[in-house]
Amino acid sequence: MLSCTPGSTPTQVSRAEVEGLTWSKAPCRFCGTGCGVEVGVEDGKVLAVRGDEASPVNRGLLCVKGYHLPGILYGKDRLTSPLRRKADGRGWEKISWDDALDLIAEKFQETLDSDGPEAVSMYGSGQWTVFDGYAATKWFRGGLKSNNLEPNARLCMASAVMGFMTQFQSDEPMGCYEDFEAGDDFIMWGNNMAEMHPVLFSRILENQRKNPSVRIIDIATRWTDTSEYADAFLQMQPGSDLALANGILHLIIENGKVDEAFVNENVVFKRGIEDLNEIGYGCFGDQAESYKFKDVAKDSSLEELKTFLADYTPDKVSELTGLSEDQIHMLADIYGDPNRGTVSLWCMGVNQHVRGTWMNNLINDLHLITGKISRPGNNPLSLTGQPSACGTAREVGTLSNRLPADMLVTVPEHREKAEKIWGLEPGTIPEKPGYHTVDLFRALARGDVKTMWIQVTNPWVSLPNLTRFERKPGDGRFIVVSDIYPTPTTEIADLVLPSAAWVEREGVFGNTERRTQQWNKAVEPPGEAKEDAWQIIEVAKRMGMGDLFNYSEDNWHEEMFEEYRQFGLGIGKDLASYEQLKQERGLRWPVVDGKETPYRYAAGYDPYVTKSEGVHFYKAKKFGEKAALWLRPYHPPAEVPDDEYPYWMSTGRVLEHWHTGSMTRRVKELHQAVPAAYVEVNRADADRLGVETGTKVNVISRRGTLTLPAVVDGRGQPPIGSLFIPFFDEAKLANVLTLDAMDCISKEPDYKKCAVRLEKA
Amino acid sequence: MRKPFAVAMAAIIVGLSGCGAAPNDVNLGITIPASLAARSQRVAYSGAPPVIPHARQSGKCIRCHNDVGARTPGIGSGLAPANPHLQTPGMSDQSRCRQCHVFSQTPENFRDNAFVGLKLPTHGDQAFKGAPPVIPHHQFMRENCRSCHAGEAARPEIRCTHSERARCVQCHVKQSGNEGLDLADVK
Repeated sequence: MLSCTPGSTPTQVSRAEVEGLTWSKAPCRFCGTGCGVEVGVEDGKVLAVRGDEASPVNRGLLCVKGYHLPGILYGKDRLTSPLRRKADGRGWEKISWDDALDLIAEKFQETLDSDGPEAVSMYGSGQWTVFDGYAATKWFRGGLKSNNLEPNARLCMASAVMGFMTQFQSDEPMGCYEDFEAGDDFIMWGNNMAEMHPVLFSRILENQRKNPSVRIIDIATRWTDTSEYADAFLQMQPGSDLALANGILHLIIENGKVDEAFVNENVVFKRGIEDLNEIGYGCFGDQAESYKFKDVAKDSSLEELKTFLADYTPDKVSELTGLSEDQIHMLADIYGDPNRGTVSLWCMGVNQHVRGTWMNNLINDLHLITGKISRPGNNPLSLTGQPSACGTAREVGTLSNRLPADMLVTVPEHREKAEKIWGLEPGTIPEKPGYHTVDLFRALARGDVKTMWIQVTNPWVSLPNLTRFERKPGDGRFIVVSDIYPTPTTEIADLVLPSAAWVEREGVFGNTERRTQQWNKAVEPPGEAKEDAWQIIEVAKRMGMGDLFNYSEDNWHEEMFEEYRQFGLGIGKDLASYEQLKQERGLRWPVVDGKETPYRYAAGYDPYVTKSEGVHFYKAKKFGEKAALWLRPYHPPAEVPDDEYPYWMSTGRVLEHWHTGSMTRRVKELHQAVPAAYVEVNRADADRLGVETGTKVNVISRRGTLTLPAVVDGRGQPPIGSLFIPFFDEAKLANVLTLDAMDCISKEPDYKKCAVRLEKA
Repeated sequence: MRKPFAVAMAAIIVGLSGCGAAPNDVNLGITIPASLAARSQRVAYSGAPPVIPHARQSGKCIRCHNDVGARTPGIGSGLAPANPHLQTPGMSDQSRCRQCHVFSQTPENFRDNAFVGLKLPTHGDQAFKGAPPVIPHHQFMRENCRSCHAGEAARPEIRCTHSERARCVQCHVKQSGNEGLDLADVK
């Protein structure tokens, strides 16, 4: 430390950047990358952030959203007190926290008494801290005896969860961010990493600069910023990734590139239900109100796989995908090359897919059949979009069928373990899973679900086929919404609670690479805003369930975390102690003897692997501690363009805005960069329709109409016959157009493919 | 306790060689609109990435924002500052500028915001008149001092009078607290 005494003359107004500021650590509030941020505070306000140079995730860099984090706290319309809708339905009145909490407890109790535990619900998100999610799951399953708890992560990475669970019987990736330096070929399966995970993408670019043989392969339905940096842009037909992955498997076998020793030692083969009529899409006919399809596994073999793949010849796959046969061969050569590291990366293109779990299975299959898995530079790595989709939704287990540490409500021993840790009577936790997200909101619309509490998410912007969920106060439902700003979701609420945001409270997030990151409260929340976990605990107390949260007042975060930690200890899901997490820039689980694990299942890295080399899929007890390679066929998308609706339509994010924009749009620099939604139109289609950038057009689907300005030759460029609309703009709701078709296994909706018409407005 | 001595010695050496704080009266015969106030408008706080103050151009940003900067008649102020990040670990001339630097399409706001960011430092403290100012800001991503402090594009009030000297940090040292976060200090 430099201790030089400055000798400023009185006339100088010295103001060094750091003077008077207190800096502390936190993970970024936005995506699942989990960048380390230094937060600079003075006089109780966040004045600045810096990328944390010592963070192993981002090494000092942030993206434009991360650099503008402070602004998300200071929008002038922050919610600062509980608000109840006035009796006449018009406008809001301030009420006290006591009255608000009493009202919630009363409404939940009323519904429990009249309609039972299946009529109450809670809908949270992958932005819940571990504390919020843990309080919610404990209260719901242990207190209300209901599994109607869901996170918006169902809309986001549920397919990746089911991919990992069906193959490794353990959620979360085996690889980690070191793969960005260790890999040679980076295959993007339908994800725009340059905009959505920019800091991680910059690690690949740096690897490529140092190692010019590094290649980025962009398999996409639209030209994006990522394509600009790619060594190959492979434009495919929407939904045809299933055929492409099978085509690559076909060629790997034909070319003799199967790693037979690895497969014999570590892989079993499985096959599920493949009948399209039996499976459906979750939104037509008798599936329009409820989608309950359940896959059934049967044993298969490498021989059967060879027969199964006979249909996926390069010429047939070329026809389905639109890729040339050479391009399919190139991908097969990349995956089949034992001397180059291959990393597969994907996000919503694969997950928000009517066969998203299948597509996750097929990507994992490519790594299993070539033995390119659980080794530095060789891994499938699913990227996540929310800061604690992994840490909370997946690991704490806030999906309607899950318990902490990969356990399921349907398994008696899992319920027993949870009941023991939670000090509950045996038989307390119900075994029937609750509704998955789309069915939950369908049930709310029908009136089967009467009471709902929504925290840190904005479903009235983000649900697919949004118009079917229209809701009017006074309809016999009771909806509570906790948030930091007014949104279209608070608009339809009966009671709105002001929440503390990000560093206004203590928290823990878990990122994409299994890194658990803790932060301390750095500033006070505005007005009467309170953290979400506190809100839940206070309602539980009022319902006579206070024993669930018997922690001390001044150290409850640590006590709750240490209780939660018991779920994972000794089973390969070991989290670091709270004390250690305070002192580190996050640690990747399993953390054993204070040491983190970069590569799971890998000898020499994972403390649960006792053999001296190779891999051991020790979590997959059901498969003899081997991984399952699934045979999964191509199925067409739920809705394809026709004469009446001739265009494909896809939705997604832009670099500057995060999800529904409720935070980023309130930041001047981010809003001014991308102030409103638009529709990207291909130049040829635009010329044919007489449309230029700025021309108002109507986009019409079977479900709704949206009027937007066109953008031609913009940042993203869809191919002829294809459109793209970002979903951040609450005034231009892309989801009035989308279809509520879902993945058959994860029940994650497909936001990427529906059919629309385009007209000049 | 040795460092103040070193700083003082460095200052004396610099003083003897005729260098000192940058004067405000350098006249290069060109108007620099990028004054402190103008620059403050472009950043949310000191250390934030500036928004791009000119219209979209064809070609790569580093064509003009290279390691020395360039004259750019008709674009922005007519002077493109050098890229300050070329020595930043993990960054290069192949980095993606628009990951952090964005264009502005509208002067309007979605909602009002009360955020007040950390102000840009006005100057670095000096041990005495003529001593080399300490560096009053964090240096990560700003390793290339010349980007802001040298050449035509530098604001007059922070323009260096002796940019021919290669190693700035020989005399200008970090101000205490400008190091990265030490978690041992975090309770």
